[in-house]
Amino acid sequence: MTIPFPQIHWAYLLPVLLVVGGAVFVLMWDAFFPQRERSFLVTLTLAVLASALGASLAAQPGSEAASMGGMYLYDGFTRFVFALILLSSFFSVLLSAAQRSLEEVPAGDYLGLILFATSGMMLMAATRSLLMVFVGLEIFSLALYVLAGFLRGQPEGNEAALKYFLLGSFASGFLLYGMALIFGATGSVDLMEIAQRLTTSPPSRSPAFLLGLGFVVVGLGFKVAAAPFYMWTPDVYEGSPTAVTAFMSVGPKVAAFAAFFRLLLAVGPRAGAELDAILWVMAVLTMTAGNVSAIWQSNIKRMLAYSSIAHAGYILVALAAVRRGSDLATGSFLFYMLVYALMNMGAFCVVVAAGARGEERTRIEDYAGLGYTRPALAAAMALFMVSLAGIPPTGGFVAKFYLFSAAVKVGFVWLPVIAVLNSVVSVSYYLRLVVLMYMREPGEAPARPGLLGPGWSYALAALVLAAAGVLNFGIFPSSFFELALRSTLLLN
Amino acid sequence: MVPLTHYLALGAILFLIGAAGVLMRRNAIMILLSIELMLNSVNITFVGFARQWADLTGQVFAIFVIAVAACEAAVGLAILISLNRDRQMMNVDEINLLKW
Amino acid sequence: MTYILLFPLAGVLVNLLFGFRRGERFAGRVATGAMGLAFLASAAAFLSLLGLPPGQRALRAFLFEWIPVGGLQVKASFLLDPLSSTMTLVVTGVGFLIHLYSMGYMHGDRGAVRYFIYLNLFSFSMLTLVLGDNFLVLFVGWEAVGLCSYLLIGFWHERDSAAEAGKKAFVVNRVGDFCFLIALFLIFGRFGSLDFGVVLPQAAATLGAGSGAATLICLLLFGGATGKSAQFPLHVWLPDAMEGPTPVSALIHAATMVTAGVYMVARTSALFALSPFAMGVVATVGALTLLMAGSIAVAQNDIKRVLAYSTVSQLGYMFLAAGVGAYTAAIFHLVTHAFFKALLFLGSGSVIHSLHGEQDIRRMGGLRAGLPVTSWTFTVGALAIAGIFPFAGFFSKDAILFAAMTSPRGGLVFWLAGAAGAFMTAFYMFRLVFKTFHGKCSLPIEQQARLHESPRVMLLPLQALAVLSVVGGWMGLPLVRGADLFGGFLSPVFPKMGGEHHEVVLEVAMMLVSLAIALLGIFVAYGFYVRGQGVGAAYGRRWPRLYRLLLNKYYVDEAYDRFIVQPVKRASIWAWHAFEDGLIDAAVNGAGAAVEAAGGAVRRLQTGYVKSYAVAMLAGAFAILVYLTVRGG
Repeated sequence: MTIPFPQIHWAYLLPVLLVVGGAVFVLMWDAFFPQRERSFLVTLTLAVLASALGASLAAQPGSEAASMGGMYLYDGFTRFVFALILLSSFFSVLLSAAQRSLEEVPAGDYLGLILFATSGMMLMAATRSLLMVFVGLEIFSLALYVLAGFLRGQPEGNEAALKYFLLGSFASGFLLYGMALIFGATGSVDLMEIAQRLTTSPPSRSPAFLLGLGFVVVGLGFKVAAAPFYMWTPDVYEGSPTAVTAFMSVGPKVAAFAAFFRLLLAVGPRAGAELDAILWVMAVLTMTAGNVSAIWQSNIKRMLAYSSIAHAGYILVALAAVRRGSDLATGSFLFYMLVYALMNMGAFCVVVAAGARGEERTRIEDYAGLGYTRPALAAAMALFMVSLAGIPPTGGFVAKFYLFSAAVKVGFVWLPVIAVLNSVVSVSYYLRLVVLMYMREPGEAPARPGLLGPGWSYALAALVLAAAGVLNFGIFPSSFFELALRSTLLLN
Repeated sequence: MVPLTHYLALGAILFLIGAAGVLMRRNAIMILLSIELMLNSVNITFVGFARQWADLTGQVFAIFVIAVAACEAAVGLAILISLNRDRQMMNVDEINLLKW
Repeated sequence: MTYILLFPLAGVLVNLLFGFRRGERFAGRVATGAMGLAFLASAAAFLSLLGLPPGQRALRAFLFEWIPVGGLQVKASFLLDPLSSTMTLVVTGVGFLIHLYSMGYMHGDRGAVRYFIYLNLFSFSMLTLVLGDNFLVLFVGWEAVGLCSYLLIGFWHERDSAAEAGKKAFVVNRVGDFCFLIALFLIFGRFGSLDFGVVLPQAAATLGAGSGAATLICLLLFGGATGKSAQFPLHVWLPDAMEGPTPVSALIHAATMVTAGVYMVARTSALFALSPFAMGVVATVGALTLLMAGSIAVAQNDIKRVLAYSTVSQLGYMFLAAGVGAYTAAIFHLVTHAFFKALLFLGSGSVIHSLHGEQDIRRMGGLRAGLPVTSWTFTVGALAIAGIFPFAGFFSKDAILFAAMTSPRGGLVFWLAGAAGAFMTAFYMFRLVFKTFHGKCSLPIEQQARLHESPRVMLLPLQALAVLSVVGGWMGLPLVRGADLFGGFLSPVFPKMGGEHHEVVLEVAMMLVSLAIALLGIFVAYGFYVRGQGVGAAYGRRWPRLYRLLLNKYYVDEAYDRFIVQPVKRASIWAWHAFEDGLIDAAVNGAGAAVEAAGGAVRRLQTGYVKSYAVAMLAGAFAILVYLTVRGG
């Protein structure tokens, strides 16, 4: 018996290979040349991510999108999601380089883990197979568990890592059990085959299949921080190093949502009518819980954590719309994630940069009077807050507008209304920070600005990039939205 | 021959025991073991279905799960050791610096 | 036309870059200059509009495709038609004068540079609002002016009340914005477009007259307008917003931003025309607001709060006019109101400025001697708002009252409300005038000695606005055919209402009645606040006949007191407490508190224990699985 050699499109695989290769290289380099400059490894990592981004942008998805029997799938959707994931990794490397408290950690281990996590996210998003979804998810989850507790001396970091790990593994159990049930009901782990068997064979919607779907929703819901599976998020975000938190708030969500989208696109039209109510309730609960909890927070990382939960709720609206077969919703999702990545990364970048000269500034009170002591930083933060709140003319507004109008188009009425109501509520805590920065005197005499650390240039680069993006997508969103819409063409 | 239902029942029971263990155990290591139990219940389910469909994919999946579970145990234990050094305990009920 | 927008934006940027370094004088000049240029640009645009034949007066400036939504485009483009041209002239003209005034008023304030940046930013946003060619651009401006207003209310953030007021304004405006956004989505859902050029002409065909959808959309739009324009029951934020610097109250909370709701209703008049019910709601809310706010103004003692309630009440007039379909009258009143209310606020600012922050009218009096210019300009403003011939308010208020009576959607009730409002307006304004500028001065002696008129840079705008308050009404002369330039200019924008032929006799009669009502109000105020204080004797010698009349009919005073003033006062205090404290504050605070409490409760779930999180996950999973089993099994 001969085993057929699987068909491989190297150009399509190149982005992932670059990232994995880069990860191994960075890890090894540090092991062999531990004395080398840290900035060298940072530059190298950035170069790896940039070249992977270039490779994925260069690889135009063709008709032969599937490699290795559907294990790896390179279509327009993959391409856009790759860009998002690589962008968020790029940002978090910049932030890591700028963050004071991360200066002493072994750079090779740290950056290697970030690259490994990136590769896991990419694999999770670029597949049709439940097996690869699981493997990709575990690759990035394991890396993130470690990254969460990377500052070993800090009790908060340890606690964050432990909580993330225990609950994450618990959720993985649910995900896997669901996959097993789906496999049992349909005899396949390939989403395309599953979709086919759901239409052809008689037991199209066996209880086992539905239960399996439910378990998978739980597992993915955990990763995207949907209610009621979101509770780990604030603790983990607060306890992790800020750069890692920024990474966690974007990358894994993109990947998990991408998998969620593929799942719903495959099985949604045929078997998922029952999912409608679940997605509806999850979306409402998630955004509401996120927003009302955020109002209370006094720690900025925790506030941003709840804010990211709320945003996950908005994206779940897009998921519900996709379930009803809306291409616009997929495009809106991609665009939303793009804007979300920029504004969220930007906000975390301000948190890092505000603390770059010494103590971390994590209490919201610490930001009082920032508008006077560091006007540029405060202006950037105000921009990101306004965008997160969804106020025009920023990208956040346009993204929300797309998202909600997609939901309106497929006939949802109350869901967008509740979402709008929520974003109205959310304005209060975002603007509270703005008010604090501009309308209050600095708490104590501002520390005399010392010399800027070497990380400052990295933070500046990230800030400028994010701010320009947020404004650009607010004022000239059309070309990127077209791109996001076109990226959905080759799906299914 | 063992019928499929037996595999599935065993898998489901193990899954429930594991989930209950996560909820009831205080020691972090025991919670870790309970999670391993859940993963293994998945393996049994997969293997059972693989035989039912005469499709190797299920078994391949199970092997992947085993490999990942090993990684998970390694990372988890590392985190636990780090925590233990820091606080000299393993009781998850005493870990709540981060809340609200 | 894009220059109109460009100048204030340039002002913001220049001041952001150089203002902080170059200081307050520089910033003030840049900001004021930018507004002046913007005014010239608006005037030029207006003239070019006049050059077109009346039916085609609409210029569009297309900038770029903003948001493509599934094949349909939302453009970043601007529309200059008679309506928006009128608005830009008001915003830039009055805005320029207020900028000028601010240079004097804010002199020496630490945050002056910041202040001018906000002010220019506000002007830019307001212009975006009125020039936008689709709902979304309008909404951009809508949100941005709200943001600026919020920043400016809390400008003196050292005061706790300022922060509190900012918060209240914020919460209330959220309610309005929420309605507006939902309306936008509905419009988008029904029309597939947000362009005025598409939605408004097709409104009748798409929605159908009197349909539920039209009513819903209109009510939601009006909900947005009530928030922004401080109409009942969302008016509570405006009086508190007086915590901001006085020129801000003049510009944002009297002349421009608060009229955005009126503008929006006028702009979407084609939609409102489809829903008689919504129009009825607009008119009723307007009438209710003007009565309630007018009566509350009678009992206030803070000079700015009187003016604030007066603003709410005048905005009620505008909505009353819009509700009965007299959009031209509504916009006309908007314009004249911008003149005289800005004048009154700036005048009160001048008073407060020279009294070093005193705002209580009970502690003023006799300021006429120390502040001659402020005094006469303020009086002009008061005459204008009271609606005395030939001041501006007379013409616009008369137009509204006439429409309220004769329009097919109007009626006697609306006219009565308007007339009662006119009486109260005259009464509380002249109460203010008499208590502030006439009578005995109740200030401490040393403060009296230091009393001085404000600097020239502050007086100049006062004088200019006083002139406008006199002549501003003449562009809408009634009676004479062809003399109503204002109405002729605006009317192509609005849908035609039936029964517009004027009966001269009726109109003249009504004019006389409203004039009499206004005079009566002044007269009563005079009786109470001048004569009642014992200084009436001096006035009595000057006008012996009037004096004798008053003297002989002293029991009329008492009757007034018993049957009019005291009940009004009591009702007003009752209304104030019942509505403001009891109902609306409770609702507003309640909504805020409910959200916070919910947050507190949800937050409590976040115990920090791994196990409680696991329990929550398990419960969620259980719920999902049970649901799926029940539904699918």
